[in-house]
Amino acid sequence: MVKAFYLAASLLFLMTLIVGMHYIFTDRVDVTGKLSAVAGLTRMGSPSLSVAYYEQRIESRVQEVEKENNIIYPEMMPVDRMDFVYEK
Amino acid sequence: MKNSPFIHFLMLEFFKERKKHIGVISISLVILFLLSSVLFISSSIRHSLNQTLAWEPDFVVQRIQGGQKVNAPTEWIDDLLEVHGISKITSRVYGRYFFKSKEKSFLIVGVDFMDEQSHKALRMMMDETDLKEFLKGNNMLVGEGVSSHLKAHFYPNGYTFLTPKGAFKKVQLFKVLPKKSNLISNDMIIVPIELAREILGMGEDEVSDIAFNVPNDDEWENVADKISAFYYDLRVVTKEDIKKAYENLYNYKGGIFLILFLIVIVTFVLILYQRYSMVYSSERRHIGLLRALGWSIRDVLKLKFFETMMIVLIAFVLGVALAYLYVFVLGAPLLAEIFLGGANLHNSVILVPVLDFGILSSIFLIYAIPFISAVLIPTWKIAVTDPKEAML
Repeated sequence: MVKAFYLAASLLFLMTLIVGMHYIFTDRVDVTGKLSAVAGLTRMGSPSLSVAYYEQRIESRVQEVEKENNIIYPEMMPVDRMDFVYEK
Repeated sequence: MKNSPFIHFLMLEFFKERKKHIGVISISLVILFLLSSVLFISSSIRHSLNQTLAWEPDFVVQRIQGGQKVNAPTEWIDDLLEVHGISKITSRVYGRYFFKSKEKSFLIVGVDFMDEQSHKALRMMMDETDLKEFLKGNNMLVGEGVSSHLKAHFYPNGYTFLTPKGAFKKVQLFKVLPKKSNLISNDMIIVPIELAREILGMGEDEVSDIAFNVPNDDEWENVADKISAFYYDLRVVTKEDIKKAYENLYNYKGGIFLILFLIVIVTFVLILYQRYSMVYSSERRHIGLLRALGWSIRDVLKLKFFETMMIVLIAFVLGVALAYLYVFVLGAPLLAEIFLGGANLHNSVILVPVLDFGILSSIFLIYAIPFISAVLIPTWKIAVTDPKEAML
């Protein structure tokens, strides 16, 4: 029975080792280099959030109802609005 | 340690009750996996964005009219040139182009390719020959999301933009920006600045905003004050404001999950507490039996502590390791959309592995302390009672 614990402990250790190896040997420089190149070219580093196009304002203070993007809670305010990042 | 009777008994006990423990480990695993995944995604995106901040301008000057950002006149650049301590003044031309038929939008960014910094950055992405070819005609560099969208709608080689003046402008697709830059370039179309003005319907003397740097950090506040006084409709956005916006955006989302996690963990702990303190529970009888066999209160507590610690450690290591593999190896399918959105072009980003040990230890403590207390407090209560009473 104790052998089963050794096996379980070895599996856990192996998992931790895989995570550690992946963390150490992942090429971060290439990803950040490409991101920096695009940011340097455009001088714009805001994230490319996949959000709806907010153009339609029906009246100065009333914005057209945004499309539901959360079927579980449709009335929830979208937390990833584009103008939050692109404009102050 | 190998021959320690206590360890042997602990393992026998753990093995005997394995079904019960597997249930507890599975619930803990799901909770820890979800929370760690969310925190991994948020810290990875924040880390990548902070890296790109170094390339962003220190200040951006915008024109505000009626609470809305409008195009700024190019003559503002001349005013900025007169301020001492300012460098790298660049006009930015950008705006969204709405692909009406499919209700998707792209971000068109105009770049002055004659500018030294832009030229340097462009060379990092393509070689000299490509560069000359690119500048010859009406060409565009597009993000992966835009490229897939155009291909899916039968525009594999280029796109004909409809300008606000009603004219058509055909632009060839020159190159797709690397997938590794998807976090910021997925919905981007990069074109020469004059072409961007034409597509967005901007005049030659207009820009979206003006960016500049102030190399001396101590001068930032002075410069911001000085420039704010130039015009009444001028707004200065600093790099710090942008940084705060990113922090808020991702802390907010991570915070929502942390609150949910706390609610779930409290419920879970209450269930555990109740299970151990039930009058006729098997746990109660088991502790009574150990006490009747001559175990001290300290021994009983030690046994339960190590048993619970084993559960906590197995669930924590499994939960965090699986979350790591799900986020950084598989790219966090479904969950990443909470952070990147899914209303416009689909974005699949490469998340750079970031392990914040502060966050990991906080998760461990928030999870382990209530869990261990929920087991040890009722165990101690039973252990101090008479064994006969406990075994009833």
